[in-house]
Amino acid sequence: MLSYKSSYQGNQGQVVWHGRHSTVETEFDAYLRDKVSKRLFDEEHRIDVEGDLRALATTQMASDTLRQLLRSEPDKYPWEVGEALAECLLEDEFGLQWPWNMDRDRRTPRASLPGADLVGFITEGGEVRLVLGEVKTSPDPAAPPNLMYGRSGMIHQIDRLATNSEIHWALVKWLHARCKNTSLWQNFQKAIQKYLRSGGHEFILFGILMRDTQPKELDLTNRAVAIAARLRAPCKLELDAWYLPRPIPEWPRLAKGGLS
Amino acid sequence: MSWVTESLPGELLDQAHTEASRRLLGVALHIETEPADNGKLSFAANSLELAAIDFLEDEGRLVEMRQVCAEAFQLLRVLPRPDNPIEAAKLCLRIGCLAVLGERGADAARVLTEAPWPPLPINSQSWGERVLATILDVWLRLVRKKGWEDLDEVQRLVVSLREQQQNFEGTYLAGQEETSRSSAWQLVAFYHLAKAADILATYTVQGDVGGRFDIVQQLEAQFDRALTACSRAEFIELHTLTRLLTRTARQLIENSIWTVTRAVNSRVSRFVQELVGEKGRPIFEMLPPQRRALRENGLLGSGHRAVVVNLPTSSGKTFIAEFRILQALNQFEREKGWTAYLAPTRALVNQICTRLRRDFAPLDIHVERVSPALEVDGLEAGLLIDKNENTRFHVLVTTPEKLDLLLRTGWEEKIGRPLTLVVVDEAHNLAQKERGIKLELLLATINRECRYAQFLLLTPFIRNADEIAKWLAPESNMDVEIGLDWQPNDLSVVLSKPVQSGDNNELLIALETLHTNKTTLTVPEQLRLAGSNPLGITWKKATKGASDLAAATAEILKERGPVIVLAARPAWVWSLAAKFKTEKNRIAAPEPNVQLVQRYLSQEFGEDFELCELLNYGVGIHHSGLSEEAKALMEWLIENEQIQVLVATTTIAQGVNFPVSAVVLAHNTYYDKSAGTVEMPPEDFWNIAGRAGRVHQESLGFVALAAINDTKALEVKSFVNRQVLSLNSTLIAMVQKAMLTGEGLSLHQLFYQPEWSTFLQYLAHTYRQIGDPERFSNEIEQVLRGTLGFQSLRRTNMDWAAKLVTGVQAYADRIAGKPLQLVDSTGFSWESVSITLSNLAEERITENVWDANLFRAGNADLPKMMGILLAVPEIRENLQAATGGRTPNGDLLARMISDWVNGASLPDMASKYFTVTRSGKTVDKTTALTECCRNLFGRLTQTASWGIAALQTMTFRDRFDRLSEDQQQTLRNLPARVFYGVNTDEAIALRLLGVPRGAAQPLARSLGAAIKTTPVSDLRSQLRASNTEVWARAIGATGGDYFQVWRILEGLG
Repeated sequence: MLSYKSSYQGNQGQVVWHGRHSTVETEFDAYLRDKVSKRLFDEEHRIDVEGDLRALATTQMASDTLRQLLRSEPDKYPWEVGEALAECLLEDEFGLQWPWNMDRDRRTPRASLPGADLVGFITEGGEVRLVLGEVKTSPDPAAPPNLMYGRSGMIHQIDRLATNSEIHWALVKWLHARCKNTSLWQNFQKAIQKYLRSGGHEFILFGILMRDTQPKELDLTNRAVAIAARLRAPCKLELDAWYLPRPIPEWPRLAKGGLS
Repeated sequence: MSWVTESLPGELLDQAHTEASRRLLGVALHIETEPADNGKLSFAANSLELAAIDFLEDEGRLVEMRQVCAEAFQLLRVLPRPDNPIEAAKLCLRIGCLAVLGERGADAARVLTEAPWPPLPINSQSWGERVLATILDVWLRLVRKKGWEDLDEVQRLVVSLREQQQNFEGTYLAGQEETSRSSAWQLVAFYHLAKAADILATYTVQGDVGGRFDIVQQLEAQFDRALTACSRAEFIELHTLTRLLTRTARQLIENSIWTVTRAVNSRVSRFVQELVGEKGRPIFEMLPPQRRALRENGLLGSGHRAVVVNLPTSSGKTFIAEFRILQALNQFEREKGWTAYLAPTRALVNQICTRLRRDFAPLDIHVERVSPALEVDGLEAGLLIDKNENTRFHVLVTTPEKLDLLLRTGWEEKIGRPLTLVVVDEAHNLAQKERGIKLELLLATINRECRYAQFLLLTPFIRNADEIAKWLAPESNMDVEIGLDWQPNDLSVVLSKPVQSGDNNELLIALETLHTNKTTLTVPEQLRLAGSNPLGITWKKATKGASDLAAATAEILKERGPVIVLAARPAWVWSLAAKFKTEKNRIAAPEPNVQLVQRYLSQEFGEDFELCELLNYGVGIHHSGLSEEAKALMEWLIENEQIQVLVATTTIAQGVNFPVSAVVLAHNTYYDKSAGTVEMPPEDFWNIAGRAGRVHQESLGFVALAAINDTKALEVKSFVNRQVLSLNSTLIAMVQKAMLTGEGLSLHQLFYQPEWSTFLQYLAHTYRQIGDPERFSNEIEQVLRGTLGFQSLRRTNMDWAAKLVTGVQAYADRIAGKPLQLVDSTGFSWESVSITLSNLAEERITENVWDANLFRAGNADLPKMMGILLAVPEIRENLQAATGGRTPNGDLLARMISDWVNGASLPDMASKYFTVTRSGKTVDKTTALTECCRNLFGRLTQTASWGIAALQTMTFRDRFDRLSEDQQQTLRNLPARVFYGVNTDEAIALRLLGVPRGAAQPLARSLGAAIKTTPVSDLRSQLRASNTEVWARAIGATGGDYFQVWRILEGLG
């Protein structure tokens, strides 16, 4: 668990917002190194790219470009670390469960469209619900940062996640493949049953802003109030900003244990 | 049920299905519907898709998977397609996959043909977009399979991708920056999907891939890798689509004609090659019922001796039969076995023969038909005993009655080869009064006497198919059934109701969809058709006459495609058809094919024949008051959409083998002379309803029933919900009637009832076969158990069953020592034979009467013979009726026959015999011609030829076999002259080959006497190779038309 202090919080309608300030650098470094890096690099489970490439040859379309690209070891982008970090923090803070994808190529940055950055389940009072969420990692000193605005900004994406059922369905069908025949199956069924019974409205949204600045209530509050006017029950939104003690560009290095 | 659908809010799915029906009906009827919320529909569709995905890998829940897939398909297809072409194509592909998995692949193909996916950027400069577009395009083509074009294109597109890869891939990946690795995985997934498409396309067209048959494994390897690549980079949408494609591809492999028929025998393989290779309309896959029957139920591989295939109309039963025939021919190749295909009507015999001949021609399998006439003419005899390896028949198509005659008169022996399979089309006719008992006893006889005989019974609706199969082969039987819910297309059964517009007399038509005991589209509201006062019919008129309302309804529905309108009686057909003669419908210059038919009809029926005029308005008719040829031409015209409306009697239900866009019923009744108006049985209704909806276009079929008022509406609603009953032998009803009316089971006293005569003949035949009175006595129960009816009777009423045994015993004692071969060869009961023999003696009719002079005008013997036949119960009724209600006498009948044989035209016959009714009333030409045709074709020619053949047998007795073959042939042809209405043996040969009567005589003269000695198959080839000039030389100016018509009738035109 990463310790933090609440800098600000509030709620309105279906929306809760919360600024969490973590100040102990060594603790943060260890968190990145120990917990987040597992999610990012998955040392125990290296996928068999060579096997994939051999199979590709049967299509008569294997090419050197593909081989080189898939064999390479690219560096992580800060936003990738931000997403993994958010997953870990939410797991610790809310007990969220993420269906682990064993086949994922950890060297490939996650494509965030047309789905969501976060897809999982939350259990509260014995009830399991579907979680959908967005993560933005921003060193922008302005409050709120740029990444909260515009078509690719968090608020717009949260709005889409709240209302666009085609995205839900794409994610639910994907989740199905992830959960079937795993320990998560029961939770999948419970969460999806709730979703279905409510006609596609009962699920929990998370919007996570990852920052390396000092906490500023303006990062969230106005946006949260605005979205609260639109969001209808039973859907709920948790909008959190994490203020972390290391500059964002350093996160990939720290996640690798401080090695450059 | 799926946990997914169970979790949905109560009414959601019902509402979604109603909305989907509303949209489908709205599009079909061009009705503007209120723009409705797509959200709920989409939510329901996605839920069903999730349920489908949940079942995908669960083999134990296949049925449920099919159900939810079919439902998901039905909802997704009515959702608006996205504007973005790629997104639209993705939706189309999901729709296609779900349809294939839901056993609605044919619908998917139609949907994708009627409204194809938008043009995709398959030449995009962006390699990623180009590859995705290509993948979507090729998979959509694999689902649609519009002929060779689609499959060729799949292979071309995949090759093109491989060729272009080098030019585009590097640049594309380099430009992806942060996401280049993810794009690389995406390409890997796409390349595997391209390869999978390539494999599937290759297999579909050639049945193997690179000489290997492990197609499922080859495909799975590609799909597994595609899924892995999707997982590597978390392509959520592509992953789900690939999962769907994986299962769909497996289903497509299972549906493939190659898979269904794999490793059966070489004949079947050659047949499949022909079907696939057909450039016009190749067959790449089987419909679900065909697949289930042939592969999953093992019809092709099994040794089940009796199989009942109980499948809905239009599910391709003939195709199933073709494979079974090939199997039987192969199985008994050493024995040189032959198979019989039985169809209930002459029209169906012709249709089936044409189809089998066409399909089997490349395999050198010879298909012949014999006429339904109950005699074997010289040419038929020649055809049957043909021993030539290259020309002898393999498949014989005929009616049950004719096969019965052949078998009872020892033709299996004369043919010299064993009967190995009997295919019975429309086998539910087993329950039909009179004809049913004949069919039942025929099958019982075959079962007893034909060593190798196997059975394939085809029927759309029998509840107790297993019972029927068990009856024929208790030790080796099977019934193949597919849920009655399977339909080749969407169907809506509707009431057509007259609606008054405002307070004036303006007619609007509203359709009310009906709930039926099958899957049919319904909506709660009425559907108002566009247009008022169709055909000038007013509201008042439509509320008074069902014909007016039906005509008005058809006038609107015909805009969607050909419509059949049903009326109960021929006279009503004419009057209903005439309603379409409006200025708007008049066609200034009819299509050449229509003109050809008009010229032909003028030739045969007279210049002013009403039907010729009707054709100018795009309307045809079809009823018993037309010749077989004319009816076949009407079917041909509507099948080829050369006319828009065919008005027919309800009896067409048993004879239609072609799809139309709608069937409109003015009446849901049959008219029966003795019983009056009889409600159409549910199996006949669903049989005709099944024809609504065309395979290649306009997927939604309508069956509309005219309801002029609320009382009629209530009647119709209960009518469409009647259940198809279990098939019961008519023997039970016969015994019941005999016992309840007090007639009892003294069988010899029941001979005057045609159905009992049939039963007595069965007893006489079996008695004769067993040959020993004592053994027959001992085996009575066994013989009776050979029938379907006796087995049921024993179960339901032991007492009557015992009485029947006693009755049979007593009857056996009565017929002991009698010349029972006459029973077999005449088709009369022994009692009738006995009476007829004594009448012949009294009238001094001997073997000397049999020469060509018999049919000369004024011949003294023919009237006597007709007089004798009027006393024979088996044929009396038909002969009496054949004179159109006039007091029948031998003289009148003899004159009619003589005129007919000597070439009197139909108008001549009509004006001479049918212009004045019994009550002295003079009728118009059309009515006279209708009556003339009904009586000539429906009664006189068939019955008189049978009767004359029977008399011939009785006068010659066993002396016939001592005559020379030539003499036999000449004599055999005499009854056939009556059947075909020609007076030379040469003309009979041409008639047997389907040449219209008007052409047969002159063409025979022109071709010369050689016709008589030419084998039928050679003669057919000669005719096929002839041309307009040959026919014109023989017949004159109309020769060319006759040649064309003959080609059409033979399925060559």
